[in-house]
Amino acid sequence: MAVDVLGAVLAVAGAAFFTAGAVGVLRLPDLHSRLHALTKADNVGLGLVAAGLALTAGSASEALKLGLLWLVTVSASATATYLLAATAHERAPRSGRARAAEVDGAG
Amino acid sequence: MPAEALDVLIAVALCWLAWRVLADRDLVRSALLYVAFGLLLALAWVRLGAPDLALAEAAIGAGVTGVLFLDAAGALRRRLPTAAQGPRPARRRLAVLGSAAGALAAAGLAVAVAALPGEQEGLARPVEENLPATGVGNPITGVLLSFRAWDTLLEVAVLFVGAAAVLTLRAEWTVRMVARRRPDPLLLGFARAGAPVVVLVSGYLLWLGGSAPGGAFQAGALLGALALVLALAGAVDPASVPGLAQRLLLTAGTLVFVAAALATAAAGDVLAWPHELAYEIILAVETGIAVSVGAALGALVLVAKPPRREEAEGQVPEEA
Amino acid sequence: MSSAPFVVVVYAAASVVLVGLGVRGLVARPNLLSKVIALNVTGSGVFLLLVALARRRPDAPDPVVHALVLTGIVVAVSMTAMAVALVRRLHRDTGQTRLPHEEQRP
Repeated sequence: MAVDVLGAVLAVAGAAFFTAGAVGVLRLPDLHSRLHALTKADNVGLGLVAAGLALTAGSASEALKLGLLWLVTVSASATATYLLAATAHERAPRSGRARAAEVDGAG
Repeated sequence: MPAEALDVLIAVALCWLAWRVLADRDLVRSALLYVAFGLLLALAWVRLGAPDLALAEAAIGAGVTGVLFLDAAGALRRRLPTAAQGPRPARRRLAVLGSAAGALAAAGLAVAVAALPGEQEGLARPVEENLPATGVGNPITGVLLSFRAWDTLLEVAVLFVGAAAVLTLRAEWTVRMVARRRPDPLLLGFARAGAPVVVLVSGYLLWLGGSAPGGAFQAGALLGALALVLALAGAVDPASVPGLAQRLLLTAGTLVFVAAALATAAAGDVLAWPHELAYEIILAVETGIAVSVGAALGALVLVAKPPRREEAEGQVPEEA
Repeated sequence: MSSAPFVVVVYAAASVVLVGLGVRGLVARPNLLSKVIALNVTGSGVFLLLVALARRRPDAPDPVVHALVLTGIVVAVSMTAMAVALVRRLHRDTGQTRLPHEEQRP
């Protein structure tokens, strides 16, 4: 029973981190700071959600699978974020603020 | 109460995303929003009790289709400057016509759906009763590879024909452009480290499909994604894969399936797997399907780029 | 459909909207890639409707419908890839992203 409650609390905390990441993407000025907020918040958020679900999981193998899920997602998202940031920097090495303004202005 | 609220939220978000996807002038943004739409749709599949579909939708519907759109949007935008949108009256006429057509379709569909009974038995009972005879425990796998094996055979053939058709447009492997421009050590490391993990998970999904959500198409989608990552990272140059291997990979699914069908036809009843061997046959056919689906999805994305004009005129393109 | 479970009604309604939006986009957007995207949205709407209808019995969702939609997803990606390849080939050969009778002026 306490384990279920703890699992729920962790999952909700994870959701809060996801919300923070989303707010960061909407409110931060340029690509690099947005990526920074997004990756950090989403990885921690997913970790918390996975931990919460693992606590209420049916078996140890399910909990391990959730952990593996988190690891794979973190490594894939880190690689993707790096590629995005590197490509953006390569294409427009001037200030990120100017770049973001250009991207927003096009919309 | 919370469950209903979640469903309403997902449904509204789906509609809003679809509107934004189709209303946006910028094709790249459209493509990105489409990926989000696909992922949300996968969530809807989970809510509707279809985890197999969720797996397939996330990988194929959102992933592969999204990549196709994104790549095309980038290419189409790059070549042309933002050209005139066309004469104003024509656009308004099209918009009005489109809205009328859309409203008509939606209204007709709504009327038809509203007239349906709220409770419908469906085919769940007959499938459940006859499932033990198929040798598998997952009803969807049973339907796909036993009860409706004919449809799945045609589906695998369609996927192959699609890949073959795209190849015959004499397109060149996209990867040459990407890897030559920026061979990236991180992506390469990720691809190399991730490859065995992905193959393992794909095999697991394939084997799991016999008794739990999973199966050949989901496993194949994973393999396709792996092929894409390996190619884009520069770890594997698809143009260097020998032609025979390319052909075998693309046709494996169709060939295995057709061979099995012909064998059963010779024995008497087409596509009726003998009960003692049903599980093994289904697993073998599914393995072929997974390999071909992976190869086809990889080919569909990687070969989508048409050759540069100077290369096409005066030079014979590489034999695929 | 009034006696159907809530979740069925919600997603069936959403699917009707998706089909409407998709058809509108198919007609109204002159850009060929937009048309392909709109076609996919329409297809997704149809799939959503089918699976929602299959869930009218929550304890026994119809597996035949699920298998059908799974097949549909795979066939849809084949169709989309073919369509996108054709659009890109047209663009490479003519510089146009629209059908001949709606060509943009350079």
